[in-house]
Amino acid sequence: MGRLMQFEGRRLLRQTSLYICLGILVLMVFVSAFSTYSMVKLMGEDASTAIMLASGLSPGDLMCGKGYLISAAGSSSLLMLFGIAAALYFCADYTGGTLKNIIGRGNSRSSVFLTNQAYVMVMGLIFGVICWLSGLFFGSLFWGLGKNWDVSAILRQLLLQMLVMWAFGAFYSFWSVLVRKTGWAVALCILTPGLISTMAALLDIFTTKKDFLVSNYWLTSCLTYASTPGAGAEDVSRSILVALAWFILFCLGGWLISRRQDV
Amino acid sequence: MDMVLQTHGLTKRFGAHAAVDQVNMTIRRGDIYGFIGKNGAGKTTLMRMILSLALPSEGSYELFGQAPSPALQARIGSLVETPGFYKNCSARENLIRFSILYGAERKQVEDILQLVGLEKTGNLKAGKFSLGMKQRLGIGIALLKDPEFVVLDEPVNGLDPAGISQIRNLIMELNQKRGVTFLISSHLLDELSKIASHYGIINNGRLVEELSRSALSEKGGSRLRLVVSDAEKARAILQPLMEPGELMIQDHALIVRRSAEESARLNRLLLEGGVDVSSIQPEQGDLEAFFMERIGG
Repeated sequence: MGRLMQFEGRRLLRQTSLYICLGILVLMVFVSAFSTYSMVKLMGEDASTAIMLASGLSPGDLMCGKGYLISAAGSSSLLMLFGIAAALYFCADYTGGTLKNIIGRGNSRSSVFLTNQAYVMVMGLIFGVICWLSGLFFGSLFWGLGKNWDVSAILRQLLLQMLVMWAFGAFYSFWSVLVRKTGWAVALCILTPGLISTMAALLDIFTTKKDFLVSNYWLTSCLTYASTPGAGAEDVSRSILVALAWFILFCLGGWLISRRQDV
Repeated sequence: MDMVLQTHGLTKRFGAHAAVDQVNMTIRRGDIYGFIGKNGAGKTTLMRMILSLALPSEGSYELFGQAPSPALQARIGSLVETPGFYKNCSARENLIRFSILYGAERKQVEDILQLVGLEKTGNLKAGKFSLGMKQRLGIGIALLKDPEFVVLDEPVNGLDPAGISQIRNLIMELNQKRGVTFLISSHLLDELSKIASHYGIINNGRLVEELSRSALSEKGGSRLRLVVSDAEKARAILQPLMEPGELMIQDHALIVRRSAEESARLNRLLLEGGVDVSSIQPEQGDLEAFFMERIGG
């Protein structure tokens, strides 16, 4: 297992697409901060009001290094780029035929899946950290660091973001191990999170119990709560449980599929 | 003699179709086992099962006389179907990665690059290699960490005559000097007959026959090619001594299904019958004819 970890680790770190996706992520965070900055500069009070109405937060909470540190992960580009990189990483062994060399020399399907899953989590951590740092950097660059730093609250939200990212990582691994084709896996990883969100939102419309929202039990909502500065304790607690449940479910599903697959 | 592989009623079904059906195969240490069969006969599926790439529907197998385990599996090198490698990496990087996985020394990477003739490919990405180079890289990966048993599925696919000869010599050298056991499938029966010590013939998923090289010769695999002054007359002379199918004319020469020990007697009979014999050449192991006969082709 140690050699497999070393082998897969080298593969991850030498995956060009990982660096390309990370580069695009940094660029997207910059574009997001810059466009908000330009909009506020051009429109003045109107833009601030619009931001307040859209997020329910004061512009001061959002438009600063602290605000962008927490909220940068909420952009759809993070999930999309992480999904692409994870699918490319996971499917490379299937499409290149290298899985034959790995399994054929005595590595079990379970250990291969778990190692890959572990590295998708590492990838999630890399994406998360880069996203936070670039959010903090560009937010501070345009508006300054921000006031009232409640470090423990920020850490709690960032940890929740990471948990949700790992649950998404398990979701991407699940699709990759199921379809085993790079193109399909990338497409599914990009499209399905949004598709499930839309379906959940549609179900919410038809739900009679107004205190129960289906969409609250899908990962996208969890990430929204995790990346909203000052999110409520109840939402955060529920998001932790939901993310954990999906993480376990997708890991288990992917592992069961991989165990019975011919290579 | 040590068993390297023994299968017991190994079966793989895809729905109702049995791709491999109740195969009992035996490969001993030091064998070069030529595995022969038509396309879709079940060769690759069987290889995939013994490498744990496909899960058997029924039956079992033993590796090195024991139930398969990761430790035993690690002693097997393989190249099944298309060679597996990272297209965006050089041959060296591919070998380095797999040397890490297999626990091979880094020094072996350079040795193998030389062994398979890829030492001068530099930073060229493996995805841009020719078919033959890809095949060599696949063989190189299979040979990392000095496996005791090597499974090669169509190893000379895409190689030019020089490459084929190089791989043949490599297999012979590894077999003779290091005692490496091989299981090789190939459609190039003539090529296989140059190296194989044993044969297994598979047809429609069933192992039709297993035999050694010497048994193949005894079973009519060996024949003599006689270049004579009058082939028709020669046939008339020898026909009464032969069974049906043991004698034929091919390219004005007489083909006799007899071993080299009988060449003097045949020569004498023809000379006595007034036919001049300009040459008698033994053609060892007519594998193709034997194979066609066994699979009813």
